[in-house]
Amino acid sequence: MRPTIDFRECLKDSPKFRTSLEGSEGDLEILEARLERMVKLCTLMIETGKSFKRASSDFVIGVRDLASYFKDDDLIVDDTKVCNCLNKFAHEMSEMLKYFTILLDQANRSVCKNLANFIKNDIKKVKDSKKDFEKISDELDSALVRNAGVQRSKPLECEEAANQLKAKRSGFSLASLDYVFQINILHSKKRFDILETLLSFMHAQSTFFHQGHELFKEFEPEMKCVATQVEELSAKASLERKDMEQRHSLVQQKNIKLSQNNSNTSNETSIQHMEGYLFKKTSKGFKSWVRRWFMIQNNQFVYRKRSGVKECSVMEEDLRLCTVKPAHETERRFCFDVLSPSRSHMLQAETEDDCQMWITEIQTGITNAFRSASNVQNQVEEENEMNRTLQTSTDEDKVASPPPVQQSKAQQRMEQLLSIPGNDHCCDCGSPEPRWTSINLGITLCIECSGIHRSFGVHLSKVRSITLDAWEQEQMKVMVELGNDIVNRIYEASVDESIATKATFDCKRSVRENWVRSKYVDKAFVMKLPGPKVASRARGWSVKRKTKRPSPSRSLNKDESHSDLESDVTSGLMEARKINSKPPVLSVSNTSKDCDSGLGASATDVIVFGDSEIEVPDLTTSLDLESSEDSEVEDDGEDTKSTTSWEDMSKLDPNMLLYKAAQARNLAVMLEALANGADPNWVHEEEEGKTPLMKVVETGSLSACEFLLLNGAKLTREDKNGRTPLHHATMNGNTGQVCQFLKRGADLHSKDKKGQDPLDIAVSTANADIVTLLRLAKLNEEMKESGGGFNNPGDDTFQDVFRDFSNMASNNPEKLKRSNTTGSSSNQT
Amino acid sequence: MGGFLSKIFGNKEMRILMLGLDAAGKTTVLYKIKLGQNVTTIPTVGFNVETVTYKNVKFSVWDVGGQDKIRPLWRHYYAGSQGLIFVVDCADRDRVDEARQELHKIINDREMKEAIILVFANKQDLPDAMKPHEVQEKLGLTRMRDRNWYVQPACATTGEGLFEGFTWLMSNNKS
Repeated sequence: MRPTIDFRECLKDSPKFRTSLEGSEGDLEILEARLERMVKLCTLMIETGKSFKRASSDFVIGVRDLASYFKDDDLIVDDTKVCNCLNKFAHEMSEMLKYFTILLDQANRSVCKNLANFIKNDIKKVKDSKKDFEKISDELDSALVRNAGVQRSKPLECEEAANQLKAKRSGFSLASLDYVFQINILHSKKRFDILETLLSFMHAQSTFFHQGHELFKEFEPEMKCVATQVEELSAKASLERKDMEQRHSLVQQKNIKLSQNNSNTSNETSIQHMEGYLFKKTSKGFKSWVRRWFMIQNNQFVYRKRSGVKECSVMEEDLRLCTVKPAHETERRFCFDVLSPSRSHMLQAETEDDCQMWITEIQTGITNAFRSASNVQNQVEEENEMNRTLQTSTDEDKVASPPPVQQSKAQQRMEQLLSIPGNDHCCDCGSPEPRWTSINLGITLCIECSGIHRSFGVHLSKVRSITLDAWEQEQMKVMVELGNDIVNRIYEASVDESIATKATFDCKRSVRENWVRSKYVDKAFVMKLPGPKVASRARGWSVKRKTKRPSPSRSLNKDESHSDLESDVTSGLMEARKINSKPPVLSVSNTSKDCDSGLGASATDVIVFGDSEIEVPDLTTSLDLESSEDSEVEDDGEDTKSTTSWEDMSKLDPNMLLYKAAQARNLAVMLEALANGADPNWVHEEEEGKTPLMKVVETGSLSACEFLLLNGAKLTREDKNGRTPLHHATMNGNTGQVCQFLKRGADLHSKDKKGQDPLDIAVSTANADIVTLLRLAKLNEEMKESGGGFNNPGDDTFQDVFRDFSNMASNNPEKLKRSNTTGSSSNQT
Repeated sequence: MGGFLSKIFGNKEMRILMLGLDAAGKTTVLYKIKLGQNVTTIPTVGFNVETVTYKNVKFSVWDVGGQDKIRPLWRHYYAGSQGLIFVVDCADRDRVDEARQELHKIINDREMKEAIILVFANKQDLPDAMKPHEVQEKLGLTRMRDRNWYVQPACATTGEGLFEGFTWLMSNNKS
């Protein structure tokens, strides 16, 4: 440590003083230089720190980007984990960087600024004093010289010089004292100043590391957690790797198996979703062939290139408008055409099998397109219908319609129909999930069998699609009353495979055709009605009355309908043998000893048609059965019995059976009678020449009416009073049936023997609904005539109103009831 | 090039759209004409198309499924059709009015204004089948004077009447 300069020495201006002064000055120079270097170094450090910080924050951004890469796939849980961890890391690092920024700031402020200030202020002050000192020292020197050089002879000058010297000396003394003071001050100040400065920097450093420490202390559990995750993930990865190695070997095995079949179908996963490469003949320019990846997607046929373009090109945007067939006429092998109304595309598969597979696949795609579209279509329709009912029945507060089920109407219908006993398999070949029906036979069919049914003509079988056709409520009712189980008990009552081999789902076309033809056209397996041998033993016969399901609004005949509910669906003639005491078809009342045949009974026995018991799932909630139908019959004493009146066995012939079954509204027995050759338009001479249809009208049953109409009953027939079925329906006040007949074009103008047409009757019985319907039908007829058959607007209105009425008749018959009671009471008088 | 060749050889092409209610017999007509044999068909879900050359005219016949819910798709096939074959099941009296409505919907469409109309009164072999004049009346054709139409009795399974129908199409084709 350098000694401070003594002030006394300073006044002496001794060489010692000068030496120590020089020493001090030199020391000062060194200090200054070192300090300046410090400032420079510190600035450099800060600059480097800043660029480090920049680089670090870039790095953090990089980490965040990486995290977002993992985030892209939300579906994979593990990826989300990685993403979260990375984001946490990035967060920590950016926190650290914040602290680091503060550190740099501190360094700048404490070291650079303080030291620079020290140089600028303190050292400069000393330097300034030095200048003063040197100047006055020089002046003193010159004063001394002058004073020494003054001649004695010039006392004046001597005095002046002495004065000057005196002045200078005192000035010098002051200046030198000042200077030395400054130097001394500086020397003492530098110690604490510099130390303080660096101490504060050290504090800043300490704070920085402390903060960092705190931060990571908090973060530690997280890091541990991540460490375990890393372990988990790596374990998983190695597992997956093992898995994949196994998969690889699987593929290798498969390749050996199907070595020649290099198509791209992965059989396990996507039977209904095929995709793969095909060659496609380009449509423009030179008709070259290009290889593209094809697939069926959203009911469209689309393709894309192997690489490059990401989007799929749509080849056909609506598969419903497409058809596919093999192209044999080209030179190339394995080709097939995809056709639509305006375009055709030729495609080539790699093998013949492949080609077949593609054709089947596209056909399936087309079928599926129709299915899914019909669902959508139905939904829209349903909504419209809903709106309409809401509009039309605003005055009814019972509207409270159930919330629209998400299921489409077609799907509902499908479910309902397939839930009927036996209907979940084709009635003729047993293949599952039949989507077609014969509405007059009341059965469900697969598409193959439906084709054969269609070839017979509508007088034998009327084929409809469950999903692709529009359905009337009445048709549904007929379906519900019959079903494959019941119908097969009639048409397959005594199967004789020597006549025809039973069809199976995968049988040959000819076998199927032969079977179906024998079954329905030749009626080869239908059991004949009991012959005279039985007739002699039985006293009489009757038909089991079809029960009315109790509807919530009407609780008439409560007891009876309850007991009947369990045993209501019926028929299948004479399948008696296998079931013990209750022969299913012809149940014999007063059952005798001889019950194994079910036919052989004592002379007192009565054969009851359609009295068998079949377990029927309770469909009443989903399907309105007879509850919906007008039931005037309750007034009729006889009709409340569970069977029709007994008939003599001599009268047992198909026609009479049909007539009686009609009276009992028993569709199963009616079908049985028809299968036995009954004439749907047979005339019962003893009952005013009524046809079965007129008899059904009396029961009010819509389903029985519909069944007869579907099976050839004519609306034009007249009884002995000249009345048509429409007359009868009007007289009975059965609005639902009037509507039903008018929809089928019943003659409005035919007059009975009294000269009354249906409208006259309706007016005289004051049945407002029926009058409206008849007048509307008349109006429609007139418009049609004047319109010359063109699609006149009347058609739509007419159909709308009639649809409303039949819906009402089917679903809320009590709404039509008011007019019925008045109608029938006045009718009976 | 097809046009050029056809000018030399006198080949003509004709695009025919065949429609009608479900089970009227459209597909049977198509394959009877194409293959000359009676194939048992199944309901057409979608469509069939075949080219049939008859008397130097190349007919491309489009047979589209007729179920109620897919009739709205018929209009996609209208464009470019020079002739309409409307097949009617003459035994199905219940639905002849429905057939009338569908027929008029088709022929009143702007894109079908130029098409000539051949009605196959099909299934004449069945009992109680409607006769051609009855079909003509019930389809509301009798009073329709602004269109070129013709009702041809037919039986697709035997082939009776089919070629007569195509001959009519050929000789009444404007182009």
